[in-house]
Amino acid sequence: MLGFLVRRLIAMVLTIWAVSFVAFAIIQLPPGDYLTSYVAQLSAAGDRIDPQTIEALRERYGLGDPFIVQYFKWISGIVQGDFGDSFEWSAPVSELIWGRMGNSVLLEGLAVLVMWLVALPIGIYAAVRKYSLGDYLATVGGFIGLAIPNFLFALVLMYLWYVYFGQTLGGLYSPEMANSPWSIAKLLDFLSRAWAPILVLATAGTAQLIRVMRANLLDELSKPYVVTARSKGLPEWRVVLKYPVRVALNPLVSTIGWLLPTLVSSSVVVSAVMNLPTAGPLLLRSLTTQDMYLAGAIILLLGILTILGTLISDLILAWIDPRIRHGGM
Amino acid sequence: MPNHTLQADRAVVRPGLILAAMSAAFAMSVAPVAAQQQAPMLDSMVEDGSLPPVEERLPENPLVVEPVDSIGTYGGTWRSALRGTGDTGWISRTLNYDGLVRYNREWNEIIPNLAESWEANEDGTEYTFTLREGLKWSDGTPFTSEDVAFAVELVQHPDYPVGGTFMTDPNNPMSAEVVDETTFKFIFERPKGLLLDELASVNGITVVSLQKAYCGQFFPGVNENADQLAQDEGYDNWAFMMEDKCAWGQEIERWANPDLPFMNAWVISEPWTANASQVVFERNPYYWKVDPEGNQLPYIDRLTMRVSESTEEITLMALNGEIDFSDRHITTVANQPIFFDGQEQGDYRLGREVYAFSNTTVLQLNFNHPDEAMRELIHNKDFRIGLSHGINRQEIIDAVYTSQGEPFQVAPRPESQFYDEEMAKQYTEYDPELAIEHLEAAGLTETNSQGIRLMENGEPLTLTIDVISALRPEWIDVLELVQLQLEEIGVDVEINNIDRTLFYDKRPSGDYDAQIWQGDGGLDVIQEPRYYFPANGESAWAFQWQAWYNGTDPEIASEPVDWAKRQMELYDELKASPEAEDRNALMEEILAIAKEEFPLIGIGLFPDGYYIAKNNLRNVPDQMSQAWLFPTPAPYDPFQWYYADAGQ
Amino acid sequence: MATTDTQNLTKPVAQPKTSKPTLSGRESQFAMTWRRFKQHQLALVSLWIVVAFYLVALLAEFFAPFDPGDYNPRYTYAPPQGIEFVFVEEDGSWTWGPYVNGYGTEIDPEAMRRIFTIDEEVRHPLGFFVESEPYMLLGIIPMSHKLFGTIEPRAPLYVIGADRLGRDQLSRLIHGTRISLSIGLVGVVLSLIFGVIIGGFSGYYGGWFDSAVQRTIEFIRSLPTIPLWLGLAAALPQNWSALQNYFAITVILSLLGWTELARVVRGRFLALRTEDFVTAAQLDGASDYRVIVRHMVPSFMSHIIAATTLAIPGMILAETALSFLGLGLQAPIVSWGTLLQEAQNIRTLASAPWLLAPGVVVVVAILAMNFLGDGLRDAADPYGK
Repeated sequence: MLGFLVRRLIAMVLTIWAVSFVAFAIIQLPPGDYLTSYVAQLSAAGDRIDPQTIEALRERYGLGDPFIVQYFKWISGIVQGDFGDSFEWSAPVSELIWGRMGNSVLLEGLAVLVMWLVALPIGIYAAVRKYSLGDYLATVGGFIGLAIPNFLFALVLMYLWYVYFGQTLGGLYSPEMANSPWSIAKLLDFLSRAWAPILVLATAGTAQLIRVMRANLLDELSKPYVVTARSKGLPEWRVVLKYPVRVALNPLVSTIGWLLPTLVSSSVVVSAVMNLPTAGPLLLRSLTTQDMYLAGAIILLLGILTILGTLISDLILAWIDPRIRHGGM
Repeated sequence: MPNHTLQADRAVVRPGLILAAMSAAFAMSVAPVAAQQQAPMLDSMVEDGSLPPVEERLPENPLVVEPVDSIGTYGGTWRSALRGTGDTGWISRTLNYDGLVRYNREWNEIIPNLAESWEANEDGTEYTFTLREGLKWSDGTPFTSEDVAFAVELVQHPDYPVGGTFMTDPNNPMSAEVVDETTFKFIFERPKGLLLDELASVNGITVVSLQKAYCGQFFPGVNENADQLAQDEGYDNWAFMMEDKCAWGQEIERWANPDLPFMNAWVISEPWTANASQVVFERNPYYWKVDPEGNQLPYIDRLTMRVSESTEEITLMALNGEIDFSDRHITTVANQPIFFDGQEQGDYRLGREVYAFSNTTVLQLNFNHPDEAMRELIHNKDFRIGLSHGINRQEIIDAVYTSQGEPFQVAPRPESQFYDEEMAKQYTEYDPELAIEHLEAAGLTETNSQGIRLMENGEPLTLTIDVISALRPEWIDVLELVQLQLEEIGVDVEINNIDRTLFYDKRPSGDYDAQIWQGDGGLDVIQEPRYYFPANGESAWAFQWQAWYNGTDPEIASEPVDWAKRQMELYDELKASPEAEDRNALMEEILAIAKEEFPLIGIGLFPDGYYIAKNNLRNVPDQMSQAWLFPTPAPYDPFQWYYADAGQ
Repeated sequence: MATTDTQNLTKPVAQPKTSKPTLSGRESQFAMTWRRFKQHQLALVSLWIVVAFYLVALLAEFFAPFDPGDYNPRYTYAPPQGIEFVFVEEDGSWTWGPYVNGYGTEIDPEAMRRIFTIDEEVRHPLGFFVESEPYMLLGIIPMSHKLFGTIEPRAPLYVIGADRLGRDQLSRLIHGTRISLSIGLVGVVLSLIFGVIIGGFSGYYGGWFDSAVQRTIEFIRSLPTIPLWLGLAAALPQNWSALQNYFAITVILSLLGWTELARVVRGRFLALRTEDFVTAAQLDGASDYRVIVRHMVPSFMSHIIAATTLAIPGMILAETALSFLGLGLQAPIVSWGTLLQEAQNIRTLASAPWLLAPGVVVVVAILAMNFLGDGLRDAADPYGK
């Protein structure tokens, strides 16, 4: 087990380094830099800036350096805990991202929770009652959720809510609550707004989960030990829940690590429509304005979270299944 | 951080402005002021001694503001929205427009503001300003000539990256001289007939935006240890700390520091940080304006601005009556029907705005095209006339703009004193046969098998037009129609929908056939002449010529043709003319050359826009001019707006 | 295997020990698969829907009554016209045959919109194979007829309404189908090539090569997709034509999409490489290439087809999301993504809901492809359930 852990940890560090390099490369890909995009933005507002000022600023931000030099400055700062400054906000990146990352993790964690709470019972039901009407309804319903583009769903939800309830859905907290410490009142306030994006995010992922759960469980249900248990006269629900469901959950557990980047990606779109203070819109904005240290930090953090998630999943699996830690498969 | 500041050469005084403003200044200063009153929200603070009484807070002769309709009542919150980050423009347009002078509501006069009077010497090299006696910053300390001089000194500091203001114009260096607490001088090396327009514009805030007492602590010229202080706080040097704490003018950081003192009607209560979901401003208890009955302004207690990345959210807020006044982001042509329908449910009304833009779409053919055959063609007036006659403008206006507007070239608007019907209407008639005649006169006689005309080098004529659809989605619609229409006369159009950054990146290399933009300078003709001659970096149609004229980017500059050079000489002359009438005459000459040479092709007159205001919001004029230098709605004095039911 | 594939395509499946992958054996396997597939009703219906979609995409010019760019300033935001089949003449007699009524339009100057009134007096009869401007079907066959349309040329026909420039939404939708479906198909084929080659070798050889591929996949998947898209899409040379951009974006989507397929293929290889028939082939002295291509790939071909079908919807959704973010395909190109992007605002929801039709089509297409993929997978797996 220890050898496995060490191997995985070394691989993880290397992967994180690779992610950091690619993250930095991605933000450098578009032509121009923060200042060109800044000039463009000003002009769009009917405004201009002196070219000499721009040159002075470019020198000062080190935007004229070659790629490798910029990367090295950036990464050595990060090793010391300094993520650099956001150009747009002239504030340290670390001040900007934690609150939003927190909101992202909170929102997406809740969405995952809802997904699982909805999908697992339905998946079990669909497997046990294979090809029943319920099975079909669950599958079709799940797929519709998957097939509706998130931004469309979010927008339609907002519009219908305005038409029928006269309220504007948007944001995660009411303005009065945004800066107050957590309390019951703030939680209620949060839930009264957050349900909408959670709903949108969860519907998109539920179909997948239902399908995987159903298929995994079907595999298990056809195995001899289940047949034996059944023949011993155990009640059906015990037969199903005792072992097969647990075994069927394993592969799902192992993918938790990957849920985060997927959800962050889909939440960018939902957050943009519903104006949610998550990492997504900040990332989108920083990428379009080429606020490179901010964008790079967010990409890097998301990557690290994913890699950690994968590691944890792997460790759980290795713990469950000895074959894996001996490097068999 | 760089600032939204214009080149000094843009600010040009309107006819008779100085004289009119002076007389207005004298009239104002003797206006009687009745017993002074304040907002109820300040009463308790005065009672417990944390705030001096209102008489002590106001200057000797506060600025008396005539309300648009009626004397108002105190109270209420003005709710609006900031679209994502970088929407500092909205703050400039609501509360950050209080410079030394300002425009009147008709936008035809410059009137006193912080300065109660001013005078210029004979040749326009020396301006003396007199501030109101007893002005105070929002922290209660006096606002004096020293603060203005400090701002000039800071902006001119070589280590502080500021450019493009009248204070940093290398062609006309200036300095500030403090005479006494309320009197100071701006002294220029060369005549500066253009100063007051710059000061009255949205950029006029720069010289009065920094308090010496607070900001001086970060400045080596005032505090010897400023660099040390900055490094202790984790900044690279003093300039970074200054930018962060005392951002000048309209910078976004300015709204992130609640300690910064202001002269505006409202001051920061909840700052604008990256994670703010709203920004809040509250009344400045030291605001120095009153209504004719002596009530201290503003009437409205508070401004809340929702920070939203989502225009759809803002649209729904407005429909739902959660926006008290807005004319930004959401008030598009496309949205007009739904806002019209929603008036009753949302309890708001629509008002009219006349845009300063001349044209919805300006087709800027690239006169500095790197390809010789293409360049020659673009320089050929017949070619441009041919294209112009090949565009069915009425059809575009009907389809894209619901028949609002009329066929129009790139020319001053009918509301402008420079309006010339012939210039505005020449070659706008849709006539494919005439168009073909002109194209053939330009040498485009042969066509290939697809009916596309061949240039002299035998290549088929394809015009690739750059456009940023993210900025104005309707441009794509316009271009799609233009594409179909020009195909009829044998001109192939490619629509190149690109990103903003690239749009600007391409300009120095000149690597484009044409770019699309809106027609700035329809009302502010002298201040914004980018389409009338190669005046500045926004003249994408002759970028290398403007570089030659402005002395920027010498490596790409190329010498203009004679008519453009003549225009440049005229504009130089205009900038140095102290007399407004002379300047107008010179501008007319420049326009006449533009009319004769016809460099740019326009589509239609920019249609009127609208604003949304809640029904209980009063003192908002029914019609406003909409511009940036005249930062609508700020010149309509939002500090005298009030809610009809606020007192209840 | 460190992590398990979410599609659950890698579950170990006992292969028939007796089945030798001969040519005749493969044919019978195909027949068997098809027979089982036919029993899956939903999948069968989905197959026809998918076929219909691709047919429409292929022959878009013929199916669409108009060119997608044909605009008409008189009919901006025209609502859908009802197709009438019977007309009662004044004398009480009936005239048969489909027709649409004309639209009277006027501008409401205050609300700034067109108001449409159905003009009962004006009738535009409809017909099949009506004459049109000449065009090239598939780019090579000269044609001058459309599947259906108004018999008189240039009469208004807005079966599912018009967009903001008075362009026929149905025609745009049909032309958009071509772009969106082909982007899905091309992207998946590219993914498949990468996936099969990389996943195949990874699973076949195992060892360090497998670990390296596994880490690479893990690495690619740990990158959030949106910044990758944004970065890559923004980095495309912007002077490329719309067509070049289209292909570049397809390649980008598939560069990120191959990991899933590679995992599926690898899983199958892991399961198969210890099977007797593979060992036998190796002992016979067959080259690695021959073993992979002749013996192993055919034995899970249907799995690959299923996985491919299931991957197309992801591509289509990715394309719409990219367009929403203002990247990817942009107007004037017509795709489901760009059509939805134009429709995604409050104004459309409130006053022109017919412009959301592309959303409905996306849902139908994705449902059909998912059911088809499910059916194929079930049918291909003889010993599962």
